[in-house]
Amino acid sequence: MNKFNSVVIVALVSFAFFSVPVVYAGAPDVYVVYLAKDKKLGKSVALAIANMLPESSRVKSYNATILLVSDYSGKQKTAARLSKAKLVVFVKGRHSPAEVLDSNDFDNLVQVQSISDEDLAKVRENFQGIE
Amino acid sequence: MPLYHFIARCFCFLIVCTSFNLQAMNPISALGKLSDSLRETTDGRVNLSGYINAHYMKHDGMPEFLERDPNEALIQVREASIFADLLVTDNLLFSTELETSYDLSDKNASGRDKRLKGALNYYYFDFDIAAMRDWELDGLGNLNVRFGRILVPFLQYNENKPNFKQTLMSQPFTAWQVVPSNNAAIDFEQYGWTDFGLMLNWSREFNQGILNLKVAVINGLGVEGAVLDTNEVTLSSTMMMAMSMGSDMDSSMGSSMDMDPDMSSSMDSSMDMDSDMSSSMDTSMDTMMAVHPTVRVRDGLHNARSDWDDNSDINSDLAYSAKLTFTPYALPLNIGVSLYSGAWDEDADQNLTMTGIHVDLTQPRWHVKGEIVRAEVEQTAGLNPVVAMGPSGVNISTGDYSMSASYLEGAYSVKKYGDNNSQYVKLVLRYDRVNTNDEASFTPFHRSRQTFGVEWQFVKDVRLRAEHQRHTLEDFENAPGPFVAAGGEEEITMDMLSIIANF
Repeated sequence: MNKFNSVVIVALVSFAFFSVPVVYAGAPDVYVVYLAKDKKLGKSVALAIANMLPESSRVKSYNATILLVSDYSGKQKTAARLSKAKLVVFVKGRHSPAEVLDSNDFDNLVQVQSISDEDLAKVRENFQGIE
Repeated sequence: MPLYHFIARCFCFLIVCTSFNLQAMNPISALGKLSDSLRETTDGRVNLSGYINAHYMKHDGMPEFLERDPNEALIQVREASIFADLLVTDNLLFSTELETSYDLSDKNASGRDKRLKGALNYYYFDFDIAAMRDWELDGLGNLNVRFGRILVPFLQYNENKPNFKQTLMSQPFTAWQVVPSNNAAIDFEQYGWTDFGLMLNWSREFNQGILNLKVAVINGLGVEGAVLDTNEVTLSSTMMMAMSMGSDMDSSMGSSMDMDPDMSSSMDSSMDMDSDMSSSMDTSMDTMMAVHPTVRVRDGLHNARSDWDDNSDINSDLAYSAKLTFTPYALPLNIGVSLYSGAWDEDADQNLTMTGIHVDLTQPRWHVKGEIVRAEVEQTAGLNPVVAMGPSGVNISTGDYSMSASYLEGAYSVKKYGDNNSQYVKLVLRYDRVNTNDEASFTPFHRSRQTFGVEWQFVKDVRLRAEHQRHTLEDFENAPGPFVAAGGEEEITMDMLSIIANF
């Protein structure tokens, strides 16, 4: 790899970090995890949780179907990143994220099936317990 | 039977017996708990997982080499790997894989210089740009940037090479001969094609599915010298070679396996001589001597891969690799195309281009998957002058040439049982082909192969596999005399028993 190529690589990495308005977001407070076939449900759960929690809380959704295109340690990397959130919510609709991620990798896991009051209350209780 | 051979077999037997008793002992589960405990202790910053496998492997019909006999049984702990993912910050991750191997075989079988070998297969930083910028998968998409020694994104096998992700222990030709994912089991180097560079990994969700694009800028494959596939072996058979009064060898008797078939037939007569005769011997006035022919194997691109700890480039040019994959929601399908391009020689004048297609169709009970790859090699044509005894100086090249390989694999779980159906018996069939040849002459890596396998997961995450293979070499009637005299046959069989566990 010659000097020019090194410069190109450094430039690319720098561009990714510095050239666009930077967010540098840390881990969200809540990760809502679902599979592709339950996307609508997953999104609505994420929205309902965001509306329920204090405005300062960050709620992010994660479509775990993306693991189908990851390499062999992708599952571990995903688990490591998701578990940095205060709370991880598995949305169990037609399928469950537990089919591609190991529930045991998360100490802060809650499973919901809908946006019912009961499920949302379960999320709120767990979230408040952690905070 | 030598004592250490006996001990090795006892050890292998012990591994198998222990595995059958894993339900009670469950060491894999213990390792998993250890990993969980480490993660908790470090507040999720250190994450470990891994796998181990051991195998008994026996070939028949391979030519015997001077240094070893590939038909002797191999007993090896082939891979004992740990993946470590360290969260440096919430969005920056350092990832590495420590891979070790231990050879229990007779050295005459494996030819390995050391019993224990190890490598850091990959080591890189991974920046989660999408998380940093709060991008959504169905918005701007997920974007990760990797920098360091990365797994090269090319076809499906290379990114899923651990055998616990596969249903057969043996590798398809696409990942063995053309894409340099795996060496032959005989010689442990490292499993997985990795290279130093930078990779962008972008995924976006559409209504119909997920599109994933990986683009890598890497050092690339390359060798020093005028030919790309430089691997060579010395056959146990002998042949007569004409020598001039000096040290030069008559070029018409070149010992390359790529020799002209007519030339090889003229050598057959020399095969009748005493095979123990390895020292030089005068058979005519003073110009004939018996030698063990060293031949260029034409076994693909193994030798062009850099070692795990060598991040220097063979030339000043970068190489590029890209993989585009689509996973539709309507079908349990993963389909993609891959491209690699880069100069392989020191002057960066000769290019290597590879294109490939992969398909994975996966259901809970069965799967069908396959890969096709084609490599186009630019190479200067011509017969190199022979200046010394041995083949290094012997190279018949026809100039530009192509290599190809493909495989199709199907598997079906005939029985599932236990908690959550986590135990099963699966039947596997694979057919693959390879041709590393420029069709100028015979090469043993123009062949087809059928593999029949059974996989039995008898405890969660612990599997036993039995495999039988039958290889058929193409164009065998043109095989050179020394190849046949060394025991090379048209049909090669292989039997393998292996155990694989992951945590």
